Amino acid sequence: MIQIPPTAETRKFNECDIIGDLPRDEKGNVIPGDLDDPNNKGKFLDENGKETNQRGYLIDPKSGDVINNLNGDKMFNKSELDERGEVPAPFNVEKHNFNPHQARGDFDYDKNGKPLIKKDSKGNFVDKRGSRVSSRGYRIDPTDNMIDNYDRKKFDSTQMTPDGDLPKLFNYNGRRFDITDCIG
Amino acid sequence: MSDKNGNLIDKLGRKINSRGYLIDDFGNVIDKDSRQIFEKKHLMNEEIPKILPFTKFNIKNTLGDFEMDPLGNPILDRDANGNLIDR
Repeated sequence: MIQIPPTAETRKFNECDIIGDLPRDEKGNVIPGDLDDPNNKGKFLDENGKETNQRGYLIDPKSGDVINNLNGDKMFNKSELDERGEVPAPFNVEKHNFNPHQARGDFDYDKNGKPLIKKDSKGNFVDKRGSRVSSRGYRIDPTDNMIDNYDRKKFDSTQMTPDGDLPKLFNYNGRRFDITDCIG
Repeated sequence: MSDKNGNLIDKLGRKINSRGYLIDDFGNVIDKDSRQIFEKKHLMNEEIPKILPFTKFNIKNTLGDFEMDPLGNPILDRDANGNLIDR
């Protein structure tokens, strides 16, 4: 589910695993807690009162190490963070990993290979097991964040397109591609 | 599913890697129209990199430790295998 601590080779690290419960702006940027709020005693706190650093990453209050939001285990040493509180390379760049097979709903497909996405009685898009999906077939939670089969958030709803598609993906040549065209 | 040669295949008989991506005979990730999307050498754990509009990085974090010549080119050495290395 989460690799603890993360390794670059597996390409499984996702920043959603270390971000506190915090709001985001319209571009999907995390808005850290208010340092000037007298109730916060000079600390960055998330909505649950857990301490984060200036980037919104959950930290162990004693050591300052970055911890995950699943079980609180250490993900990065404090000494590995840069002066802006960012995690070390390559995780500072490759921090949106997911596998599309684990984020797609379970569908039947038509003759053209398009998934048959139905609606439930409340008008929500669902897969054939009744799990909520976006109109583009990605698994979502009640607040429209994209999740995987383990209910782990992979993209915030603010990072998804209005119709629930993934943000644009590019290859190393800068060419945009649709990940559903690349999966078996 | 596997074919008679032991290669992983999808329900349509197309070759896939262990992470479920369509691949060609060389292991490069391709799309449904056989256009190459990622070279095999760019995969890790047979997974593709996720490059998004909000993927940002500080170039200083990706540079090796080397000096520059007067023209601004990096001065690099090569290891025993011919790979470029910093100091």
